[in-house]
Amino acid sequence: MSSLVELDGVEVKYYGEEVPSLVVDELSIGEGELVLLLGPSGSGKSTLLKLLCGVVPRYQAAEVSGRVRVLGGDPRREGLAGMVRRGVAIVLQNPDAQLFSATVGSEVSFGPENLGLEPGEVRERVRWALEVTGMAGLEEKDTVSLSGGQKQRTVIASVLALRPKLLLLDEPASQLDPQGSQSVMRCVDRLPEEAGCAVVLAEHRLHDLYASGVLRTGVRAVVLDHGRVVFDGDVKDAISSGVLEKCGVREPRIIVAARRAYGSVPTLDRERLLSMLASSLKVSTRPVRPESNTSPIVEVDDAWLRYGHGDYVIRGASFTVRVGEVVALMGPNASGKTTLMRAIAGLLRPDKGRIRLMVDRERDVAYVPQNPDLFLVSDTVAEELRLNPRGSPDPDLVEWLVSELGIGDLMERHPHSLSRGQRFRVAVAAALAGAPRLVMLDEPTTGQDARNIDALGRILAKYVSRQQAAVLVSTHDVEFALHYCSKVVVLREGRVVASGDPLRVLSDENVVREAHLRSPDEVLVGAWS
Amino acid sequence: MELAELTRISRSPLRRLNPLTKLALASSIAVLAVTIDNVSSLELVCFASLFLYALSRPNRTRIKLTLLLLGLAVWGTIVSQALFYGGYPRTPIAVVVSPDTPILGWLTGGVYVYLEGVEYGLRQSLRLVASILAGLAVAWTTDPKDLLLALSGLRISRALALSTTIALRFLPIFVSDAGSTLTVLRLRGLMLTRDRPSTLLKYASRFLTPLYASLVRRARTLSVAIESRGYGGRRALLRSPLSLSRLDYVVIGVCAAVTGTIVVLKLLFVAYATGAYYNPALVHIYSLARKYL
Repeated sequence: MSSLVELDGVEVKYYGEEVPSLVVDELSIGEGELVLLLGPSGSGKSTLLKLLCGVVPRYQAAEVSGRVRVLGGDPRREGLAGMVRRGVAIVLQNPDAQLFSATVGSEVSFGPENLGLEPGEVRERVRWALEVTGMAGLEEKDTVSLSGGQKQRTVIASVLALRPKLLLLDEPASQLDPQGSQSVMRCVDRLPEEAGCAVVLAEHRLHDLYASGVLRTGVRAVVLDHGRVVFDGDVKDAISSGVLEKCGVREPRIIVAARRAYGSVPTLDRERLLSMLASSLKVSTRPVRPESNTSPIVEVDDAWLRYGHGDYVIRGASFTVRVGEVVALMGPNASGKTTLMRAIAGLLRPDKGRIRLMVDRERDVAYVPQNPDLFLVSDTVAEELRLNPRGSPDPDLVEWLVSELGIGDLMERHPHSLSRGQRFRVAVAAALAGAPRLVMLDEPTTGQDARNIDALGRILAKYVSRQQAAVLVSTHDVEFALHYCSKVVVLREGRVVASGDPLRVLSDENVVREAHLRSPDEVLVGAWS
Repeated sequence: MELAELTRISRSPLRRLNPLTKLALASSIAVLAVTIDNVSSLELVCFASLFLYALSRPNRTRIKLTLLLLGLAVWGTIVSQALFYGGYPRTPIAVVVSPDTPILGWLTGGVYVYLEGVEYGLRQSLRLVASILAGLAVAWTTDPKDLLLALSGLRISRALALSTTIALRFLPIFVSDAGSTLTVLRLRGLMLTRDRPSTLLKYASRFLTPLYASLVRRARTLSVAIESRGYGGRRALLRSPLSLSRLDYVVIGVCAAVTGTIVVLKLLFVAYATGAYYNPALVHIYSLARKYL
């Protein structure tokens, strides 16, 4: 097997940074390989992918030293366009920002048309790429009407149509619901065989990788931490050795449970591991919690909402958020979660029904959108935290937030120069610094590693009791909902299809299937502690 | 405003036309709007543009956005012309700052609303309205990829073609992000109520920082996505899948004939009016141009 990628003594340092973001002594990737690039947030995964396709240093200025050969060329000299000609393709996180054309067929044909291929060859490539990605039959569909998973598979098809030899995917499922994410991962898993290309998949959603069968013996894992390769070998060995847990990568709970029970992970076969654990572990399932009876902060009562005169986006939703609760609002992409949050914030008015807020909407409500960029308005992180037109923030509260969210080192940095995960943590800290009674967070775990997700969950739990507040979190993260939320409200097509204790709701197979979720491992194995 | 309502390409009769044909239509309207000075004829151009816009079958969200854009354009043009009209004669119809006002009045010599300025502003507004409506009709009925191919086919620079297309693709995203930013800032207490306009002004600049950062990131992602599909390589586009139908040829022909004729008539009239060229055989044309152009 000849090498497509050869890195030797490579160091990447972004301008303005003192420490290199990536240091690779030696790394090679062969034809048709599937390589999982794993590591916590900020470990250098994206930098490595961008280096391989020429985005770094061409698009993002950086000093790059050492030997870099990709498909026989040097990406530093040839840039992205040159690497694409050699057979490199890259897919980024947000499918909405990558889709360009009006229909699926038009999107996928763009690449072959740019190559100047005959119309017959273009049609053949489009047909093949759509078939490999499971999108056949959707050629005429508007790209804006696709689900999140379909959008990302369309993006993958559009680069596959160029018949790349090396496909790089940078957390392609990070913004998708669990079922959409698994559909993308299963599609990616088939590519080395069906499309004949090597695939490098950077990801930290190990739960979805595992549930879709990609995390299996024989698949190669390269683990990065603080910009360095700390493991390169079979993914089973990476998991058994505990290197991922040490780096702060969030592993599936049954894998952690197996390692603790047996000292290593006897098999990666999910079904076998589940039955082994179910028969050998002492199960201590916690009882289902009763509904809280503290005073309500929000009451949504048979609310119906639509934009203009279109179809209703929210259809008769009813639920209550009470003091001391952290409530997860779950459901497929486009099920109405963000619309409902905007309505609670008073920015949309229900067409029918009502939404009652028991706190002052002007003073006591905070909302952090999925895109943290839209929240950050100051020149430094410190200034961002001080900014509170409603009054001076409580210094003790700010100090506590800074320390718990691990943003102390970032205080003098410009908020927009930070990574997505860091930006979101700064936005959360700034939102909570105003001591609101109702906090709404849109997809707060996207792009965060295990440590930061745990920190966020702990902070929210402490915050609601400390401030007599409530938190409403829109999320696809079933583990976060199970471990850090006191209640789950599941939306599907604008209707509440289930609500209550996360353990009870996420154990219901029908709800999980309907809402494009995934049952957490603890629910399947019954091992809850 | 819902992003999908703004980004979806309309299923309209215009969608059947080649992007080049639609560009020809929009360009003709823009050229005519600049060429013609007569208010009644400008109104006719506006109606033609409005017809084109109606053919794009805009939904309510798009109509709202259009009204917002037109409102801003018309208001800005009329106000600026009414206050700063430099031509003569000019008739003051209202006093904004009296010449007797300390400092400001002394410095400016007084600020007035001029009748001729209002009229001129209205005429300029008609030009803007015609161009905006035609541009939106093209944008909302054309696949951005087809537009990029069409622009590339015209042999204009790839960078210009790409930036034009990205700008078009980002118009709805900009509107959506601006709405979200306002939402977030209002909830942070940064955009306060009408009773404190000074606060509103103070935080207006804050509004641009997040919006700019978000758009730069999106633009970077999109340009990487486009380049990773082979656009911008050394090899030229050898085969465009866009071909002109008979209808396209007819529309382009009519646009070229009407626009060309009106531009020539106007040039002849300008030559006559400035004394550069006069031909007695063209006296009816001068009369026609004076009356309608």
